[in-house]
Amino acid sequence: MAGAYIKAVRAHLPSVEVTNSYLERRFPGFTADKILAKTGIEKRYVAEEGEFSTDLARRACEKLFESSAIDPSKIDALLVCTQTPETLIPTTACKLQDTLGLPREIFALDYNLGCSGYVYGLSLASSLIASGQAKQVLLVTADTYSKIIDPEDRSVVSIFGDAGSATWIAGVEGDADGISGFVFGTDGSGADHLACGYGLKGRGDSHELALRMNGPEIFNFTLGVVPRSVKESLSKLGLGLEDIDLFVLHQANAFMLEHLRKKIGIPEEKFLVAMRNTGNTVSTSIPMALREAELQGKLRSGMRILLAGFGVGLSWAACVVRWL
Amino acid sequence: MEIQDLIRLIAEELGVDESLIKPSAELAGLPNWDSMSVLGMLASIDEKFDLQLDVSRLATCKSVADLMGLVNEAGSGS
Repeated sequence: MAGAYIKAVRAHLPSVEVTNSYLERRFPGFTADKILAKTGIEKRYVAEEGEFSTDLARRACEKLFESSAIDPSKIDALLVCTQTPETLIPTTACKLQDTLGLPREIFALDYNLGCSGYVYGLSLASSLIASGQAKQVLLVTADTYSKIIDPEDRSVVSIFGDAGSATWIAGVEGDADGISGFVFGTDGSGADHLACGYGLKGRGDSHELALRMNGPEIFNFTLGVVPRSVKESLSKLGLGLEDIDLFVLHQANAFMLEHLRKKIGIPEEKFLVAMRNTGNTVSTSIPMALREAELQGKLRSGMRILLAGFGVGLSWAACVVRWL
Repeated sequence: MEIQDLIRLIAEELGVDESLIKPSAELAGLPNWDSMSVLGMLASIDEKFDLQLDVSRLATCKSVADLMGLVNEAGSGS
C-alpha cells in the first residue's frame, strides 16, 4: 500500500504591499505599533485590480514545477481550495489544467473552504492515493479576500492578505504514515460569524455584501475546538504533545496563536508563528508557514508536524504530517 | 472572580490605571476599548480564570458591572 507524503510546497504572494504605516494613515488612531502588537502582522500583500486567485495559484504551481522534481505530465489529480474564484463557472481547477498544461486525464476539482481547507485537501489527496485512484496529487490553495473586503473595515483589512500555494503529494510504497491522524469538525450554526453575502443571492458592490467577521465569536470558537482537535489527532495516533516536533496552526492572528499555544501547553520552540510579513492568508496560511519553516531550516527529514486549520464555516481539521 | 479582578484585567488590557475604572463605567467609553481589546480581555479571562463567555451577549453589556454579570454566568455554568 502507498502512503501519501508531502514532497514539496511552494507559495506565492501578490505584489501590492499593505504596510501598517499605510493603514495608520488610512485609519487615524489605528497606529502601526498597535496593529503589530494586537495581530503580529507588519504587512500583508493584496492582488492588483486585474489579478485573481487563478493567477496566484498558477504562479505558485509554476514555482513548484521550477524548483522541485515534480513531473507535471505525471500529475493525475488536481485539488483547488478557494473561496474567491475568479469566476463562478467553470472551476479554477479546470482553468489551471489548461494554463499549466496538465494531462487531460486528470481528476480536477475545486472545493470551497477557508482556513481549514489545507488540511481537508491533504485528507482528499491522501485518500485518493490510498485508494489507488491517484499517484501524484497537486493540492492548490488560492484566495483574494481583499476583493470581498470592505476597505473601510479596519478589523479585516488589517488581518487578511492574499496568497496562493501549491503542494505536491505523492505515494511512497510500503509506508503509510506520511499524513495521518485526521480529525474534522463542522458547525454551520456559526456560519454568520465569518461570512460574505456576495453570490447569486446578493450581487453588486454594496458594503452590505462584504466579508464580515465577528472577532470575539471566532476567538471563542477557536478556544473550544483547537485544543480539542490537537488532542484528538494525537490520541488517534497514540502520540503525546512531546512526540510532535513542530506545531503549525492556521496563522489567524499571532496574538490568538500565542494564547492557543499556552492553552494547549506547546513549548515555544516547537510552535511556528510565520505571519508577520504575510497576514492571515486563509487557506494558504499553513502551506505558507510550512514553506517559511523550510526556508528557515526548521524542517528536517522524519519530523512529525501537527497541522490544524480552523475558521470560516465554521469548519476545522487537524492532522499529523511526517516530513520526508 | 471578583469585580476588582475584572477591573484589573481590563486595565491591563487597555493599558490604563485600574483606579480609573469604576464598576459603573461604560465599556465603550473606556480609553482604547475596541474589538481587539475585547479579544485580549476574552483571552485573559480564559487564561486566568478558565472561563469562556457567551460572546453573543457581549453587545448587551454596557458597563463593567454588566460584564461582570456575564462572567458570573459563565462561572456558574449557566
